[in-house]
Amino acid sequence: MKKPIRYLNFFLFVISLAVLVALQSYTHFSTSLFSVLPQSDAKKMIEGFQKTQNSQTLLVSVKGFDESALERIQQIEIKLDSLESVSLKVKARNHVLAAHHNANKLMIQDVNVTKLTTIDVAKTLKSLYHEMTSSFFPVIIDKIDPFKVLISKTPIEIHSKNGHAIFGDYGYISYFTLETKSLKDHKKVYSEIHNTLRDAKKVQFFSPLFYYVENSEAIRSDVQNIMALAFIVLLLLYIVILKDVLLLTHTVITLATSAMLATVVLSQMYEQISIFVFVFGVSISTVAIDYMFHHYLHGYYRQEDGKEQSEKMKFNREVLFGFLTTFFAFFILSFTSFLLIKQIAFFAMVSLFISYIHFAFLYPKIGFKTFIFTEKKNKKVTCSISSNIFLSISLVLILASSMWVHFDFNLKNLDYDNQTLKKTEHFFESKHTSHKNVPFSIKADTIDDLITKSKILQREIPTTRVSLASLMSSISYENNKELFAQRHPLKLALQKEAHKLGFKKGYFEDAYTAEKPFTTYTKEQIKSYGIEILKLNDDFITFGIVHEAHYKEVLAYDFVKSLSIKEHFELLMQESVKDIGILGILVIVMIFIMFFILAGNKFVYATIFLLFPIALISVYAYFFSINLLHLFMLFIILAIAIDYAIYMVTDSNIRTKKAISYSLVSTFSGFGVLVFSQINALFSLGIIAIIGIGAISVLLLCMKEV
Amino acid sequence: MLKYILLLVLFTFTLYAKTIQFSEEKYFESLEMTFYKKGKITFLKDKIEVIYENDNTVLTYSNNLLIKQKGLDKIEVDLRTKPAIKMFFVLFEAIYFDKKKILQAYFTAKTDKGVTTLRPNKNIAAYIHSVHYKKQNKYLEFLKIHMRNNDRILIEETY
Repeated sequence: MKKPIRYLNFFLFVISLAVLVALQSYTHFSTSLFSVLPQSDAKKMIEGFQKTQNSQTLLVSVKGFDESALERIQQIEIKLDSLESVSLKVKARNHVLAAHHNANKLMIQDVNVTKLTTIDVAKTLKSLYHEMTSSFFPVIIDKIDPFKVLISKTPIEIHSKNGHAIFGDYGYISYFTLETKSLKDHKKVYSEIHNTLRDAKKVQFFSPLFYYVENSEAIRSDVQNIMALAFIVLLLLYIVILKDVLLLTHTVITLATSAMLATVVLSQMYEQISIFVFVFGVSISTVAIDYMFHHYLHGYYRQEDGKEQSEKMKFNREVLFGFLTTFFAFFILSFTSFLLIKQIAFFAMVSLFISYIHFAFLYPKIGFKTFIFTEKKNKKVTCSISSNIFLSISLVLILASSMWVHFDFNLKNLDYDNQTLKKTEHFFESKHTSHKNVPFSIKADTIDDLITKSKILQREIPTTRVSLASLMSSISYENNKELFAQRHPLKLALQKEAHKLGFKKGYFEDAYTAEKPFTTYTKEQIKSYGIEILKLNDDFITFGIVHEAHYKEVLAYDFVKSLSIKEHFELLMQESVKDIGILGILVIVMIFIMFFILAGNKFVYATIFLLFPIALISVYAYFFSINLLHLFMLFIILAIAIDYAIYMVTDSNIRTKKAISYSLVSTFSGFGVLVFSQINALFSLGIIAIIGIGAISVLLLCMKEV
Repeated sequence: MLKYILLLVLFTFTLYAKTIQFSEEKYFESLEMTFYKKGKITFLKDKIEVIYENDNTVLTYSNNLLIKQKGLDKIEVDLRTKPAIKMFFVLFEAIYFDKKKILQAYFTAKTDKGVTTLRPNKNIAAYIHSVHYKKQNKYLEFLKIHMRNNDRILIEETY
């Protein structure tokens, strides 16, 4: 009768699966890179901004300016507007705001003081009267500010033809708002829009939302293919080389259990987890296979019916040190501020720990058939190069690489390269001036201060538009009240001249009268004006736009914050590089300490396992710029290389080399297959893994042992 | 050859050119007075010209530009920043040439006993209260525009 412990692995798997399903931990995965931005004020601000209409717009353009093109775009407008989540964007005035502004504009707008103090009332009013009565088109006189002493922002240029907005020299254009929140909604509206416009001729359409749908689909399909490929490589290794299906079954179950428990733990820590964390975490889990191989090939899982294994065979010191080194490497990396790497590090620590416990303590109890080891005596090593040569080459390359290594922090370069959509986006950007407007946010302690700051920006930077600047601030109120009180004779002169010209009595009653009470705005009141305002902790936030040519000038104000996810990511990545650099040095220090303890006089030999992969990766860096994921993978390769170095310096024999070779194949199935990914982030990990695996293989085959 | 080209150019211009005589009645609420005028409007390709009787000012509207010329004095107004003025010319042209799709972009139309009433959409409603017009074949019997500030304009085509 078989021992019950043989089923413990399956039992743990079922329990893990039950916990995963019960806690619905898998629902925490997100395909958006936004999910790896750490919770911060900036993230909340961007989230708040994304909820406003500006961030989800659909542009539809019909080629041509004739009536048939006009009719087609009008029909498209009707069709799309009838969709549940799509609404035609009409630049409608907010009537509550318009009424408030009109009644209080003398207290709101900046005043042209020179004009106010030098105006010739009789002459100007007469000219106005003449223009009004002789013009073919209607001339509307402002009863409150007939002489236009209030400074108005130059209205936004409207490019239109035949009563419809136009798009450069291409044709008509319409704008739609897409009201979707989840990826599911995005997909639904994406498919509805494409179905509606499928048969439309000479029509171009684009929305940034399309990136979410198309890229997440591409990423999902890519990830599925990569995982399938990894699984096939693993199957080949076990079935063809090891010929032990039971060991394969147990190993797959162990890896699945460790991945599931790591997912459960992470989902309890974070609301959202990037899908990259899962993919990469699962890949890291496969590294644990090297613990299994080392045990297995050295006979720790040997079935000895009715006999106890000897004390010596119960516990392997080298694997423990290998595991601890890798575990602590991730532990040190988990202190990074970059959330993606932090999550990956936690995932790796949990999954490696669970795998190690399985492979080191559970598998010897279960027992597997002994690996039949055949040593080929005639086989000669093809090369035998001194470790000093490897050391010299490595040091030269590493030192020289400081001349050519350069970093790339562009987030877009890590994402899926959606060429088709980029082409359409470029088409709209090239002809559309509003695309050149960049959004930003303004932050202040009070609503009044927020209005004052909005006014400062609008006044100082010509292309800035901030809706909040159309409200009254305590400064604008006090200034204008004093100015118009001093110019009371202007009003009297206006009324006198108006009477002479025949204007009806009291027509200019409200002109230049600064007697309105001060308005203290509330957040709700501002929202009722259709102006976006957020309360974030103790601060108030509003949004504005500026032409890209003046964006840097706007950002120079300390109360202005960027709303670009790309900029925040890049900043975070730049900060993380310093951060990871320091943590990386700590990891290396820890490794050296381990070498001193374990390798003794073989310290240099062990160090080459660390230096040679870095040297080859620095050659790669000559041709390509290095991104954050390259760096991260480099540290992983080093952590793996350390395991092998420890095995080689403490227990160097043909079994160890064989165990390392199989480990390398399994590492390739975990990381190396990522080189086939279409997504640059995953490809970056894969290429470094391949170089690292290649470097270690060269060392195993060619380096003379000491 | 040049002769033929010139003839072709002239023919093309006359094909698009159409001049109508009109009378205008404007009531200004601010003055509580009505003013009367007469003039002619010429529709050219992508261009409208307006000249009042006893006034040598020529007003030319061309897409986004309004040119006011009196003798040698010339003033140009960019209408991209003055939608209310542009709207007036677009409306006038669309009604005269029956460009229903263009009217649809700004107004909701309803016709009763030959009189069409246009109710402005949201943004235009800030300036225009309503528009009424009647056309008999291609002849504009009247065009009444009620402004939001209670001014009124009545234009009638005259023979």
